[in-house]
Amino acid sequence: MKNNKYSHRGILLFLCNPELFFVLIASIFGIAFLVVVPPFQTPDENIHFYRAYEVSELRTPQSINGGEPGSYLPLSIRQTEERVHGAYAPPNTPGHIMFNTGEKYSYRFTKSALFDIPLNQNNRIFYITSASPAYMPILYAPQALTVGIARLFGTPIIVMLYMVRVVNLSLWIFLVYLAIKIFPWKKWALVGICLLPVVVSQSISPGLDVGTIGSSLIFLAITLKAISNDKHNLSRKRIVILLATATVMVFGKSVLAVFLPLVFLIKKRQFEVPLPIIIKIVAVILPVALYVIWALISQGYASNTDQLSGSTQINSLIHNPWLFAGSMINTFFFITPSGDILSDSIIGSFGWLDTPLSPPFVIFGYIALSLILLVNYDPPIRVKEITSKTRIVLLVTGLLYVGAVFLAMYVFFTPATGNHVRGVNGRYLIPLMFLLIPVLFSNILRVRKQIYTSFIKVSTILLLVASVLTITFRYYASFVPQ
Amino acid sequence: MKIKRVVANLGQTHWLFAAIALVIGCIFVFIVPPFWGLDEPAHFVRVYQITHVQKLFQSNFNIKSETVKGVPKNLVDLGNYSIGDLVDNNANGIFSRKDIDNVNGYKKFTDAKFSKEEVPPSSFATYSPVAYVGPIVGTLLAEAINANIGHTLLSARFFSLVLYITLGWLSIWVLRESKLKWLFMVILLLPTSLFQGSVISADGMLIGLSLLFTALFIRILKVDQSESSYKLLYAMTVIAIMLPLIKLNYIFLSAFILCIPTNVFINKKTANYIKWGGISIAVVLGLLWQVFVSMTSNLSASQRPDGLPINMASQIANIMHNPLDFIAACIRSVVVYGDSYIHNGITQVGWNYIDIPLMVLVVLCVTIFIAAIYARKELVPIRKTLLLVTVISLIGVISIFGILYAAFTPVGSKYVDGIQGRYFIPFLIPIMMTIACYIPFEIKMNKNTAMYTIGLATLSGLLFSVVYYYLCTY
Repeated sequence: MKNNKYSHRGILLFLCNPELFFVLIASIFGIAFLVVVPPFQTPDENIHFYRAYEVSELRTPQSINGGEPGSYLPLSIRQTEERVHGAYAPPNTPGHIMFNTGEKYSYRFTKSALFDIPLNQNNRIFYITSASPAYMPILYAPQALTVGIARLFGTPIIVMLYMVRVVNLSLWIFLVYLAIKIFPWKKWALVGICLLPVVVSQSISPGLDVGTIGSSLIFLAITLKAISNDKHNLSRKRIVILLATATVMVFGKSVLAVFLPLVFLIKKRQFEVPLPIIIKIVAVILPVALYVIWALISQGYASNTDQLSGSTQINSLIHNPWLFAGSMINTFFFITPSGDILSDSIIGSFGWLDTPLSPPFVIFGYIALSLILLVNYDPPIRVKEITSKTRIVLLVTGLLYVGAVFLAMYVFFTPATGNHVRGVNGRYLIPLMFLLIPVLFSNILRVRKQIYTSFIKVSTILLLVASVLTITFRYYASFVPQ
Repeated sequence: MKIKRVVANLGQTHWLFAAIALVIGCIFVFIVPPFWGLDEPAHFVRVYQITHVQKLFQSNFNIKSETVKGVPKNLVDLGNYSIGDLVDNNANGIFSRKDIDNVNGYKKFTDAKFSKEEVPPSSFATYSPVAYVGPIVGTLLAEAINANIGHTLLSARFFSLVLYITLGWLSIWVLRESKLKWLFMVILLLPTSLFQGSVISADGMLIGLSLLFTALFIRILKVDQSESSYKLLYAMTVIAIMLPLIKLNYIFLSAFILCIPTNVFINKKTANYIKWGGISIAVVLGLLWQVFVSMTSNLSASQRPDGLPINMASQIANIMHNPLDFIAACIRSVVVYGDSYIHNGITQVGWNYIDIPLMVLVVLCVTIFIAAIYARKELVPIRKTLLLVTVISLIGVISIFGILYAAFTPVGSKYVDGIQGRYFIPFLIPIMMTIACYIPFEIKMNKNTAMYTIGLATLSGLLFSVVYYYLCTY
């Protein structure tokens, strides 16, 4: 009986505590996503895996005969990709799952890749790894370490890939757990955002989004905590974490540098250490300086086509800045498929963004997100901690960030002849959602805390269940309308 | 002083609605090419038959037959030309774009008077004159001044819009003291609703009339027994009788009248007379019209673009024999086409091919939700009645699937054909009101904030629709 009582308490603790609730649900659905999304079917999963393997061997991309930079890596990777119908070939290849929603996955592919394709480190072919050139190798440390350990045991590639997914998921859960613990206001809102399908689905990808977005979240949590009224909350330890996360996020996505000046909102009295102004300046300059140095070093690794497209776009942008404004509007509103794909992906679009949630769930997701941000349950006094000036600064920063994301994708990802910005994805806008929590923190809509938390729990679980079903139908169910 | 009064009036929701609907509606009237409204050729042929009453009774011809005459030849030629123009285009590989070939190509048809030579129409709608009051007035006026085809079409569209605005204005005016007026305004100004109200179609009248009916119903639930409630009651009964004359399955909307509490009436006997009398007349007239239609046309199957054979009796026998097949067909249709029902019911304009961006759809859905919970406090006291009408509405929704399966879908089909999201618009308000009742919070906004928030969201949705329509067509 006593044991029973304690187990009930344990469950209650998980359900009532925001960070523990997040850990529970993110683990359950993270594992579900990890299992149902077939190997090499998250955006650029193959390229990131090559890069992680490359870093695990302490290599850097090399250009052969002036071609795209890359490395010689085991042939087993390509064989595994072929066996699981991964993203090794152009989208229209028969039997290719990526972008072909009629093509289905079978666990026989996984079984075959597992038993028929052992890791052979001697037989190697050349892989292009330049799609992620400016990413500092250290950012791939968790993935590379996992691959490195797996290599020691001769683990098959397919197992390695799932191991990398598990490690990234664990890292994501840990980073968000920390951020929720630090976040000063409406922790449940943060839980609601971090359990949106778009956020959970990116947590299994072997790319850098986990580390980058996770770091930006911790950076913002520490900064916002320092802005709040809790005095002397910026200890030495937190300052070190602040600097480290600032550096990681800028290396992962340089546009996140627009968040750095937010440290100037922190008042002197919040610092436990002397010379706070120096720390603020260092927090802004250090990540940017390190990034510039790394960019200069890694210049040789960049894809030739990227360089060409970037310079042409910058040139046309200088001559006619309206082109960019027009392209940005086109992206959302006058080239229907790309705008709708972006709108879908802000709530949930899976696989290679070829598996969006159905519109009713997308609409429900937006309504839920609006309520999560607008409805308040905290005592009103907490709202007063955020002054109008702070709100405006946060809002402007958020808008600058969105503009910077679009600009970066326009310059580096959109062909010079493109009439809309390509490659912008809902997950890039996740940091903006975090910023909107304090910006929209008000008492316009107030409910009892219990109602608010119940709504977040029910709506996020509903959306995640719908997402898992959507992915399952997409990859495994053969259902062809007549 | 007059300007001040105009500005003050525009601050009132019903005038705000009228101003927005008139401006955007007129733009639709003029920029939609002739017969580019959804099924507009079939609807206008019906209007033409009604305005030339003898043709309404002579129209039991075989539509494939060349020997039996029907409507002016150049009207049919215009319909064929516009449909040909519509289906053969797909500009620049951009999804949903169907540029018009040559604007001047229409002139030779629209500048001409109705020809004396008559041919059978390619297709025609089978709705009653109630569905086309606006276009009928417009057509009669145009004919009175001997206008050409183009001006007749414009006149029919314009009066369709005027009637839609009048019905919408009345719906909002009836609820002028209630916060619910905003919900009605948003639904009336959805791009799909206003587009249907601005072209020759039965749906504009249906949406306007059903919203007025729902507004009267809410008003009656909220007022005490008084003389004014009787006027509302009589108005509601008349509309209840009219609704199934437009489309039979909206009899379920008319059935709201049965949910009016007895204390609104003088006594129980009067209550029963009005409630059951009204609904009985509605059912009988609705059925009589269907009998008339079956005698004068080959039902709605004539509107099937693929010309597949329809056998209503066999289909009903099939449903009775295998009801699970019908249920499976409904579920399959919702799963496969559910997404398009949502687009079609809220933001789709043109001949079901122009999808306004998803972000606009999202904004409008959020606005509908906000407008509903803004009025939550008023709805809580009547939530039991609202729950009942929501159940009836859901039955009405199912009946749409049933009727289209029986009368528009080939026997034994695995899907229900012909379902359009806009058919559900009349049932949207009761369902949203009930959802709002059971949501544990409400939005506190002052009048101006509501006006700016809801007004701007609906206006921006419409502006996007107009611009999008223009870009996708010209």
